[in-house]
Amino acid sequence: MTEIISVNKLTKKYGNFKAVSNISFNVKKGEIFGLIGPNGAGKSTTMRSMLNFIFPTNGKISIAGLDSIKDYLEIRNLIGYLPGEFTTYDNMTGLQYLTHMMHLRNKSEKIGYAKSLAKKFDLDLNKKAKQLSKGNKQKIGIIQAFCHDPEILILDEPTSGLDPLKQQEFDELILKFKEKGKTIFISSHVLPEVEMLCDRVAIIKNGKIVAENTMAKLKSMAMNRFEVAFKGDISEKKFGKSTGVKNISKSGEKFIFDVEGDVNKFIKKISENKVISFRSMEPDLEEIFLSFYKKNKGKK
Amino acid sequence: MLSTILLKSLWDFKKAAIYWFVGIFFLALYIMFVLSSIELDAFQTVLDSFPKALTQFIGGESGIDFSSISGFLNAQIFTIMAPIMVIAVAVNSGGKSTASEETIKSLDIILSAPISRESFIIQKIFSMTTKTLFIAIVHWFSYFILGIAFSQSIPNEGLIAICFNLFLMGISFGMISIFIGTLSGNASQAVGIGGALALISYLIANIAPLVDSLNNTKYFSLFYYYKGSDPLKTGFHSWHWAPFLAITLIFLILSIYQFRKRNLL
Ligand SMILES: Nc1ncnc2c1ncn2[C@@H]1O[C@H](COP(=O)(O)OP(=O)(O)OP(=O)(O)O)[C@@H](O)[C@H]1O
Ligand SMILES: [Mg+2]
Repeated sequence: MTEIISVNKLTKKYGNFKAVSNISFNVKKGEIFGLIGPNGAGKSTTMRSMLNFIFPTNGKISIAGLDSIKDYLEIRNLIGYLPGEFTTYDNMTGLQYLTHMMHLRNKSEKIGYAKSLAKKFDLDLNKKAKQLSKGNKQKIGIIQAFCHDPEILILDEPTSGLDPLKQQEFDELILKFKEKGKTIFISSHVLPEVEMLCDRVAIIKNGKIVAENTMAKLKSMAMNRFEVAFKGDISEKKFGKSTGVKNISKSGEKFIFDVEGDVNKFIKKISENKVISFRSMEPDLEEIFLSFYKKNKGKK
Repeated sequence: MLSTILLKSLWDFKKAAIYWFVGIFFLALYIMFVLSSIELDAFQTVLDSFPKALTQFIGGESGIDFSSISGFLNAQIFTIMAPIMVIAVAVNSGGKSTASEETIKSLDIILSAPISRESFIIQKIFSMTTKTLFIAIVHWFSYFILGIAFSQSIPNEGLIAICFNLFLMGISFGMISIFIGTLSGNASQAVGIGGALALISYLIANIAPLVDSLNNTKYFSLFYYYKGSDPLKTGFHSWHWAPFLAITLIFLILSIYQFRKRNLL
């Protein structure tokens, strides 16, 4: 697969504050790439730099081989974008707004598809924006990003405000676009969703990328957790640093081990005892997240 | 499409346009009614007994002159009321043009469509200009029609001249407001500062002539170029257009430059 988005040593400073600091990553054509991180990490800053709303202090972004600053108009023809803070015009109905947006894009013929998406999302397009709830407004934002069938989608926390059912609808839409060969770059807080959708993710914190990999790889890099029951008493002291054990806790008769890195030494060690039961617990994204956050705590 | 932003902006003005039209027309109707039912000469005798400073403060450098129809309209309408209306529309439309879309965060999504920043702001400038022109034309139209209806001989060339000056003064303040909006992206600030500048300009033009040592400061006020030559009475003075055109052009260029290079909010 070829790279369709490439961010190269991007830095964005506000005064002396580095909102984004020397980050690089590539998104391949046809994949779903997640940018995840806590509030203020620099997700929106990265996305808004891609669209030329803010100018990088340093670094270069290219999208579909085009320069994000020089060729920004051409790039916009390829992109569907949903900002982190989406607002429509209060006095316009959903239909008027979408018609307006498609006019701007010279793609008025896409309004039919917009209507069918609205039906899917259970959104009344004849209501004025000021009469709509937050989640329903967000749907208009999602629809305007998708309905002109762009090659690349840049979505900044797209599901904020959606109820679980609509989130599912949204996930299906994303996967449908992926099937069509479109590229999706998404930032999110909803971790199970990222886990389900994304092929690869980058974790960003304090303006720096602290990990970037496939979902599967990231999981394996994180702590592994094992639940083990032994026959007879056993001393916790046996499991020192050399076995990679970071933390031991006890739930009833069972021990829970958090093991970092290579698990072979740990498995050898426990097999020295009589094991009654052994269960490997899948680390969820939340834990992966936390383990990366903690690792970088204090480092500037 | 190239004109979508402009068309939407004007479409949003349609209701306001009707209100403005009705308001201006009925004010004109009221003024014409008063005009045709009073003895202007009798009023003038009373006015002549007022201190000159007072009538100058109210009526501008030439004071209040009720001895003619144009003098009466100058004092009643074209010194304060008409400029307020034109400037209100120009400054409000100008100050909000790019800035309010930044403030409410609707700009990101508009500009994610293939619309250049230049095209966006130029369409907003056109919109401000069109709305201002509308208010100026409604003034001309109301007094022209009602002048005929009430058989008052309002000089048409003078009426066109002062309405044109109104328009020019309006777009000057409107353009300044657009520029302030591109500096900060803060719409209420842009409208506020634009309005304050207009007020200061008005005060300078009307206070300066009262004090000999300040008299020359009036040349720094756009209000002076608007009405200093008494266009309603004397017609066009094209050299008075120069400051308006210069300011409009300078701030137009500055606005486009500033809006292109800034990090959007
Ligand atoms: N215009 C600005 N001036 C100064 N600092 C800014 C500006 N815009 C953003 N920042 C700072 O840059 C950092 C990154 O902000 P950004 O909006 O990219 O975070 P985010 O990852 O999108 O967070 P969230 O999850 O809350 O949306 C934050 O600390 C923010 O305060
Ligand atoms: Mg954000």
